[in-house]
Formats: sequence, structure tokens, C-alpha cells
Amino acid sequence: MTISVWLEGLQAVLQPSVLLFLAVGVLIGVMIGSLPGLSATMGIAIMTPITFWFAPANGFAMLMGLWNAAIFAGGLSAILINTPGTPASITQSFDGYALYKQGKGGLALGINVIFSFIGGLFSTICLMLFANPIAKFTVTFGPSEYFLLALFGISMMISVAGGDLLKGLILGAAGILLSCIGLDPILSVRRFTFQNTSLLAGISFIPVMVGMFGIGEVMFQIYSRRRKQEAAEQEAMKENLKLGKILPSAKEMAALTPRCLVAAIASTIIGAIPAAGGDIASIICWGNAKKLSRHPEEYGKGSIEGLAISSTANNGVIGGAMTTMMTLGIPGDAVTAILIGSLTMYGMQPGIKMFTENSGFTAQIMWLMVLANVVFLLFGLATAKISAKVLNVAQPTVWVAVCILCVVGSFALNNNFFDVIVMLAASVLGFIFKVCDFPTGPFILGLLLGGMLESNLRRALVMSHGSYGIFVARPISCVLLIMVLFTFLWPVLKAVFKRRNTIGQTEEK
Amino acid sequence: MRRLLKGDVIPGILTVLFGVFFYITTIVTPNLDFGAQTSDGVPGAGFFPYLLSGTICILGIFLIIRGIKQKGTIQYFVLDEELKKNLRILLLTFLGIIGFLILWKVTGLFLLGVFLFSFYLNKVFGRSWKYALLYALVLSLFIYLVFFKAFSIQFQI
Repeated sequence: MTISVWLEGLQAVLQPSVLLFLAVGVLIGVMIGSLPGLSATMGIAIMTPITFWFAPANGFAMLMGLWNAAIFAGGLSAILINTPGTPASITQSFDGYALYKQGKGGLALGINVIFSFIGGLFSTICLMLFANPIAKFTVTFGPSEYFLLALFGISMMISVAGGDLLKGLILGAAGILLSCIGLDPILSVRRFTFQNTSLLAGISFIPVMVGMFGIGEVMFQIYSRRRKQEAAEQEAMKENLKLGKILPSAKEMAALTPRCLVAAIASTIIGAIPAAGGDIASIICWGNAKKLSRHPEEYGKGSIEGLAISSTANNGVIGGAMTTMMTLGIPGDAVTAILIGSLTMYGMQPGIKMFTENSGFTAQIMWLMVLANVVFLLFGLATAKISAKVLNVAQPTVWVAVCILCVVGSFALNNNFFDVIVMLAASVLGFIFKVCDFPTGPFILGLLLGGMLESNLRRALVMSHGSYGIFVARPISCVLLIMVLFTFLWPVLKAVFKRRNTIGQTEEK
Repeated sequence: MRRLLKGDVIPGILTVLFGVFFYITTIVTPNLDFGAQTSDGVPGAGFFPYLLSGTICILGIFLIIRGIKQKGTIQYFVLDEELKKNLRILLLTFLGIIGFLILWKVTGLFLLGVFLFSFYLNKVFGRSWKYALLYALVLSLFIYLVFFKAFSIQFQI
């Protein structure tokens, strides 16, 4: 990507219409992120089919604004009512709420905005710097590498998500199996279409995501509603403590920034690993910062440093996740999985082609990430004291709108009623997964990457005349194969080590 | 026996049924062969379906065994009074969605469906008549302006 491509990209995203869509995205993101139970994934899933009707730059401006702002806004409810708005903001409630109780709520909100911005901006700069070289490296990839890359993505999701390897394996396999519906990628044979022409093209990924994270999530919230807890949250909101000053002092900023930059580096790397999302990044960064801090005793009791680290980490993963998604076509989390679907809708394929055939749009996406961070910083600082009002929206109010928008969104995608049926089926499935404690991540990745997995495996075997040696003969394939094996074996090895330690400790006693 | 049906036993049974369904469908579908007929060792169109549905069946059996070993210590459906009430609301919500889709499919009147469905859901969630009516009106207007007028989507099936 040349300088002129970057400059043209910047010029394109500075158009008033793009900025307007970005601002609307930030506004929606703040509302979605701050309301407990509504996640960035749900917001992106519902908005993606709707943005399909916009020009690509406008559509992506809205999605980028929504995503970045929703992750930052998850900290609002974590700070004000001790309930994380998104899973990524879980550690922000440890120190943020304590600060609020101490009458430093304003400072907590200010730190949340500023350090979410720093984390987000840092990881976006990493995306801008490293995406192109990584993408160039993938030029050497053949079917065997792409097969193992997809398998690595799924295996990571299975071993990380949920912590239940057996259920992860089941859903990963189920996702890949459902991706087989439609025409076979090599021989064009009909598979599991049951004489239904709508199934010939396979199961649309976006309606599945809309159903699973939209109505499915609403159904689960209705099912698991605890009115006592809701009443306690309402009481906490009524408390309305003084917020105090918002901006940290220059001395505080100087003390916090270097530590937070380390957290930004760590979270960007964690974000780039498939399946390791903002929640994992913020827990790891917060835990390690506590170990290395001069005042570890303050962590969890209103530590400004702890809150700044958490805020940096949860937005820091975004750039990392985008790097993996844009260069390798492997989603880092559920949001990037939907964004792959969104790019596909616009006729683009993540990977090297994004940096050759669609380099202009790729540059625009990266600039939009930068601008999204700037817009939510300004928005967050300007509205810090009134942002608490968003939390007054009752959950049922949101549930009704989500149900309607899911139906509208899934239909609007292709003007196809069958997509609505798929969405509804996925919502029931999503609800059952949540109730029975099945991790949805492996299913989503299986469904998304199943086609890539199968077509590349079979192409590789056609190339090698049926010899599986192709996966070890090529150096990158071999490394990827070792990584896949290690990912699957790690939970087993961990359990063995743990058992040995326990036996050793018992014997010592 | 009831204790054994708690925990992962029922999810395990459902998993096995899912796997068996796809395995049988693969067997009875013509041209879904495990290997391709063109060259030795190259997988056919049935390679992934056979492999995955078989794997799911086996993993489902493991899940059932794990569920039996749990002896009822893990429960996914603990029906207390509040949860029973929630289940009723959940069922009414789901029926509402089905009703909305049937109304839309049969009459083609999408906007009327949106209005009635949002009014109905608000009432299910215990909102007042006034609130439910106002909400349904505002949401229908929003859908009309944004999707019908701005995006020109024709919600016709």
C-alpha cells in the first residue's frame, strides 16, 4: 500500500456523509455498550444487514464507530452500577465502581474514555503498520496452509472459549457440518438441501449471527431475568453520587501512560490470537499489572491504575483482532466474524486481495478505526456526566426493538423470507446453547470457516494425489500443524500437570 | 433416573440425534461418497459430512456418559418461581414472533405486523396500554421512514 493509497483513503473518510455515519455509529455504540446485556456483537449483528444498503465507506463507518464505542461504553455501567456493559469491561467494574463510591465517578469515567482511546489508537496503529507485511507473507500460502490456518482458528476457539473442550468440539464440528449444506465446493453435488432451492447457496452466515446474538440473546435474558438484581441496579442508579472532576491531572497521566502502553501492546497481541477477546485481554492485563504494581493492595478497591489498564486492554484488542481478520481471513472474535460476512457482502475477501485489489477500501477501514477512536473520545468526554442517563432505559424496551430489528435486518439482507426463518432457527439454537452452557464461538467459527476448511483440504489432497504428507512437507503447513496439535493437546496436558501437582502436594503433606 | 437426566445427559442425547440425522442423510443421498471416484485418496463430497456427523455422534455419547457421571450435580433447568414466570413470558414472546411472521406471510402487511407485534410484546412485558400503544406507533413510524422510505425495501414475500 503506497502513500497515495493512504492519503486517498483519508480523504474519502473525511467526507461529511462518512463522518455523519461514523458519529451515528458511535452514538448507537455508546447506547448498546452501556446497557448491560447488549453487547457489541449484538449491535454489529443487527446493524450489518442494515448497513448493506449504504455505500461501503458509510456502512463501515457506522460499524467501526459502533464497535469501538460499544467496547468503551461497556465501562460506563461497570463504573456506575457495578455491572459490565460488555464482557470486555468486566475488570473495569473492579476498580471503577469503587472509585464511583468514593465520589470519584467523574474521574473514573474520564479515565475510561481516555485510556480506551489510547488502547484503541495504539492497536489501530499496529494494524496499519503490520497488516500489510503480514498480508504479503500470505502470498506464499497454498491450500494446505489455508486449511491448517482455518483449523488453527477453530481449534483456538474450541480450546479457549468457554473452557469446556468437549462441548467446544461438538459445536465446532456442528458448525462445520452445517457449512456443508448447499453445493459441494469441488464437485457441485447437492448436500442436505432437501429439495429446497433456498438451501442451494448454503446457510447465510449473517442471519445466523443476527438470530444467535439478537433474538437468541433476548430470549436468554427473558429466561434468566432476576427482578431482585434488576431492582438493586435501579437503586444503585438512584443513588446518584457526585461525579466530581473528569480529567485526570497531568501527573496522573504521566504516571499511567507508560504502564498502559505495555497493556496496549499485550492486548493487541492477545486480540490477534483467534478467540481471545477483550475479556481475556483485560483479565490478563489487569492481573499482571496488579502483580507488577507498587500498590497492588489498591487493585479492586478503587485503583486508578487498575481502571486505566482495564480500559486500555479492552479497546486494545480491536486492532489485533482486525489484523488477523483482514490479513488471514480468520476472525479474532465474534465481531470480526460478522465483519468478514459484511466484507463478503460488499464483494471483498479478507486476505491478500484486500491489500492488492481493494487496497483503497482497506486503507479507509483503518482510517475509520482511527476516527472512531477520536470521535468516541470527544463524545465520551463531552457527555461523561450525562451518560448515566442511558442506563435508565428498561430492558424490555430494548428487547422489543431488538426483536423487530432482527426480523427487519435478516430480511433486508437479500429480500428473502427464508433468511428470516434461518434467523429464527438460529435464535432458538443460540438460546439452547446459552441455557445448556455450550460455547457459541466454535459454532460460529465452524460455520464461517467450514467452507474454507473443506475446499482447501480437498484442493491440497488433489494437488498431492491423496497424500497427507503435503501438510508436513511444506514448512509453514508443518508449523501450523504443530500449533493445531498443541492447541488441542494443551488442555489435556494442563489437566495432567495439575493432577501431578495435586498428587505431589498431597504426598508432601 | 430423574437425577441421571439432569446435567449433560439431555444435551448429549440431542447431540447424538443431530449427528445420527446427518449421518443417515449422508448415507441415503446419492453422490455423497467418502472418497472421490476420480483419483485414489482424494476425498469425495461426502467426506466432511461422514467425518463430522460420525464425530458428533461419538462426542455426543461422551457427553451422555459425562452427564451420567455428574449424577445430577449440574442442572441447567432449575425451575424456581421466578424462572417459571420467565418461561411463560419467553413462550409468549416466541409465539408472538411466530404470529408476526405468519401474519406477514399471509397478509403481506409488514408494517401492521410490526405495530401489532411491538404492542403485543410490550403488553407481555407488563407495560401500560398507553406506553405500549405509543411505543408501537413510534417504532412503526421509524421502520416506515428508515426502511420503506429511505432504503426503499419492499417487505413483500
